[in-house]
Amino acid sequence: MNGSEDKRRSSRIIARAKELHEDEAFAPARRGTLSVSAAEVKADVKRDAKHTRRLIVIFVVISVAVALFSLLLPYVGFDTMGVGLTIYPPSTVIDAYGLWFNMNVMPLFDATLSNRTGQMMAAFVETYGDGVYNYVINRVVVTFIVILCGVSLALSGLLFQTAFRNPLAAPSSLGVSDGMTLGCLIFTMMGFSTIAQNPTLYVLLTYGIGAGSVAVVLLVSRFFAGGARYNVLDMLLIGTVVSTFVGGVDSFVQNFQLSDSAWFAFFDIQQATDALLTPIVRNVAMIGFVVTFVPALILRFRLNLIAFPDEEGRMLGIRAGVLRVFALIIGAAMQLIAIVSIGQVAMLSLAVPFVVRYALPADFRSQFLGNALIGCTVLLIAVAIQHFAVFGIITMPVGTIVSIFIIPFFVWMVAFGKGGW
Amino acid sequence: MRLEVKDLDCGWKAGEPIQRFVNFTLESGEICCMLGPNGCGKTTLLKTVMGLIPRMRGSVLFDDRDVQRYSPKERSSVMAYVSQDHEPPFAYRVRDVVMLGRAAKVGYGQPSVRDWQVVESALDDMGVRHLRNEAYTNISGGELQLVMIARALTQEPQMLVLDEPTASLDYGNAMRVVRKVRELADRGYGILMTTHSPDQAFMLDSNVLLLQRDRPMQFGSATEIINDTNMLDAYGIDVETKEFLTRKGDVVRMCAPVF
Repeated sequence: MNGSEDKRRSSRIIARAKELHEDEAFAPARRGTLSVSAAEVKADVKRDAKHTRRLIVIFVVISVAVALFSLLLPYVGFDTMGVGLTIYPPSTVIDAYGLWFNMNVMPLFDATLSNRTGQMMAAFVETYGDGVYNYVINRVVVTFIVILCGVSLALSGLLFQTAFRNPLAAPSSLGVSDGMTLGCLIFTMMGFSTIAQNPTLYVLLTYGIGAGSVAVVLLVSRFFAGGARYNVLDMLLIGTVVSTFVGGVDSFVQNFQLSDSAWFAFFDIQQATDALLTPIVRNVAMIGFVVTFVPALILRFRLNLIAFPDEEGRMLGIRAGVLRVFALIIGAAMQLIAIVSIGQVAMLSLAVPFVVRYALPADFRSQFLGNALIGCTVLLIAVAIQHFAVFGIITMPVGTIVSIFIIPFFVWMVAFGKGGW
Repeated sequence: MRLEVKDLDCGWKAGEPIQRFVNFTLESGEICCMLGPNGCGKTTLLKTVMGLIPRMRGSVLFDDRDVQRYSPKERSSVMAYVSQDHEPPFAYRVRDVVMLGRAAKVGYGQPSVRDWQVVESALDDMGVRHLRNEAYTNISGGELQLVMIARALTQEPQMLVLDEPTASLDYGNAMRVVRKVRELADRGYGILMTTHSPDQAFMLDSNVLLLQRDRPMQFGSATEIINDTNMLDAYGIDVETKEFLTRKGDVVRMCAPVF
């Protein structure tokens, strides 16, 4: 062996060993030395976020504007029984909100006002007529629920597309959608023609069978995975099988077991055209929204890892497989909440995440925010259109409106967009 | 840190180990290059050492504790892995994908200023900070490799596991990655890597773990292990190892095939 090389090598090893020995405590610190200062990082992050922040501000402004418009929207549109459209001017609507404020907030500051609420109400009824006040206040709640549903639909689409790394992975693929339809069918076959006749049963059947389908998919995929771990592709495959089976049962019943009038009733119920009018549907939607949205909000940074292979996540210190199954369950639940409340709106879950992916950075936190804002805006607009577009005596389902108004935009994005998938 | 692998058997199929009786150690500041022909189980051995695949026999101790007893979070804070082929799922920005290295440390919350500091410093260390806002689907293979090593550094580990860090890189990029690996070892990281180039083991002045099919593995310094007989056995290629002086006066050793 060459002498000079040997000497050089051994001196280097000795020097390194000495260094490590003397400074065993210092070595890890040296590894962790940060070359970039906190101030520099803060400035960088601020500068880099400028473009994204500007887009987010635009999204927020649009969302708030649409929500305000929805609150002021002066119409009665739920009536499908041929009464047609009653239009209230914005001044009436604003007066009604003023009355609510005077009756509920002002007495907190001036106790004497609480004795005069009856008088105020009577004055309002005299000017604008009976039922107007309740209708307008109802609007607030309806708008609120529509916002929750829009957010849920877009986020469920985002969660599924991220988890499967596929823009066509739809939240309905775990069987929620067909399960919910089966629930509606059973509801119709029990003799009900509108949700309002027995909203509790409607809620139980749709949520029960929708969640049941997902449970079946999870159980079967667990069985297929040998009881060890879930495999998302197995889940997707089994979900498709279960959906197809339940869908088959649905169409069998629709075609052979329903009378014509019951078929029309089923169509209305499945599209949930009057679901938002019933308090129980709203309350369940609100609770469900909190239960699904809050965990997703808290985990929005960590959820980035569901886009990467499980092994990568595990080496980064996260049980990514568990996180992915959790994300899929949350996504399916969000989808269920929305379709029970406002009917089948599959297109929104597909299109909104796709569009947001073009506009905002791929980081899940940006995507989360963007989808929440665009999702609720699109659904608010669709519901507003629904209430004006009364074709004959039938209210058009929100799902149909979303499809008609979103598809052209979707095609435009695909044709002229760049980047993305 | 000290990694100690004793009498390890590894493989995918029960009863059919690809490698048997693997023994080696790795300490802070050391590099261990795994050499061996395609399909001899280099990646399998790496994954078994990290505890991603259950081992068939033997033990893997990290600082005298069984690697399989580390939780994913604990493991991520002592060793970081850069896989051979990273497939970008979405067009993440470079700094966002590097931030994912902090996932276990961030926990259930959101990244703090200190986390960003670690990310930016790691990018700076690997010389790719200028790419921070690029989509990591648009950067070159060599840059991507450096970015993925930067992500591994943000875990603040003691040991780096690199699976063929120079595979599919051009000559310049490969040499840049090798130089960075040497720098990292000098800063105190223990580095376990696979490579197809015996020359890299010489350049890195590393230990070599030579794996072969149907032959016992060998472990020792690069100068001991990389010789004509072993190269002929492992790769079926007749080589000569030569030493020469560079312009700067450094001694360089290289393998040259004899056709």
